[in-house]
Amino acid sequence: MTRHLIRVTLLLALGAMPASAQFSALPGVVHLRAEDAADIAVVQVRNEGARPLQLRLYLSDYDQAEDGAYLFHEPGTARGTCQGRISFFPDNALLEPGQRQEIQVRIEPGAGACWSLLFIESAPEGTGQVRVANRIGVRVLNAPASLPSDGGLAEVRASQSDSVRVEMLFRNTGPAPVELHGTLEIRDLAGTAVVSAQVGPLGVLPAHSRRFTTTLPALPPGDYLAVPVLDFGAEWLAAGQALLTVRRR
Amino acid sequence: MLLRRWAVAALVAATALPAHASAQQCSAAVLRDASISPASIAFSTPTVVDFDNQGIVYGSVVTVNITSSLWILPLSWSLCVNADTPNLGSSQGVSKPLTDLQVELMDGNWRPITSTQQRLRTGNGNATVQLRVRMRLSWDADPPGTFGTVLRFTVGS
Repeated sequence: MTRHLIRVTLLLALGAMPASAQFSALPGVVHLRAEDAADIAVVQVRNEGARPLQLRLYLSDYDQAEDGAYLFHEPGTARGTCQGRISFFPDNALLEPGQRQEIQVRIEPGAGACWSLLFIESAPEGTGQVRVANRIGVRVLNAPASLPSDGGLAEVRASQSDSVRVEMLFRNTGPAPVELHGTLEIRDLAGTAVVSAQVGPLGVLPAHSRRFTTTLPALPPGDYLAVPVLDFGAEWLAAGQALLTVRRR
Repeated sequence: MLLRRWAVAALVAATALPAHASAQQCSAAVLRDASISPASIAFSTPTVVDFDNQGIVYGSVVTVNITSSLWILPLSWSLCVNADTPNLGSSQGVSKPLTDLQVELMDGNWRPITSTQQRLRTGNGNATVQLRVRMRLSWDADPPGTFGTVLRFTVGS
């Protein structure tokens, strides 16, 4: 009986532990095509928690390393920044549980592509020494329709230990940011797909490369081909292949 | 050589495959959501033993729940953390360095917090990331005082 009481008390204590603000942003990537005219998109922010939520919104420049790690910079300081062309409204919101707020993002006319991050951040909560703030970064990409997308898979490597690992390197050689998505198939030498996986979406900035790995279940001994086929917004698809030989252990 | 030949084949095949219009619709429907529990971390007052152990670990596991999916399709995400302040505060003219606050992804590898973004983990689809938090303590360097910061967790695609 005593043990029962302790267990119930513990569960109650855990349940009462306050979580940080919980909210969602839709979409996570905004695509705009401002060139001769301004272009506008809407980001939907929703309070997914059970308490009222105070949010602030602000911009940041960013760069991305080859492994996809973000490097954040002050607005207007990084190459490709949308600063001076981008605006959004409102810049703060007080949302009741379940309430949505539309955030309008606008890019003014201008030449060339640009990219920025729109941060949506909750106010820090609690009274402990270490308080937690939570933010979501929405990528805003402006790529005028007149800009071509160019790039391709520069490397494909496949190996198997406990699982199949396929490492790919995509190079964006065009003037616009691109979003990669597609499939990776492992085919036998007769060309039949034995297993496949979704790849992406992954963002790659102009003059940048992105290295990424997809893991698939281990395969029986034999010879296979790893075949990624990626759509990156061009008139053609990026594809590659690598031979995978699985030996008996 | 093999790679180049396949790229040429893909060029030919591309005319028969759906192009980027649908891709942009897909990526526009990304839902990203994150919550962190608990929202504030209060360390108990350090004891002599904590100072002898050179640190105090927060009693609960901090959990970050990430929703990153489009219907049933998992979408990639990255989770970063940084502190909002350059240090943990000052007392008696001494600043406690930010790096005294550390997190560990249940892997035994304690990572000092910095004011610049540090990527904790990447993933695909809905996920739960668990971490422990500790404050390094020093008999020699720490003056009596109360120290703290705001930890900012960032979820991006």
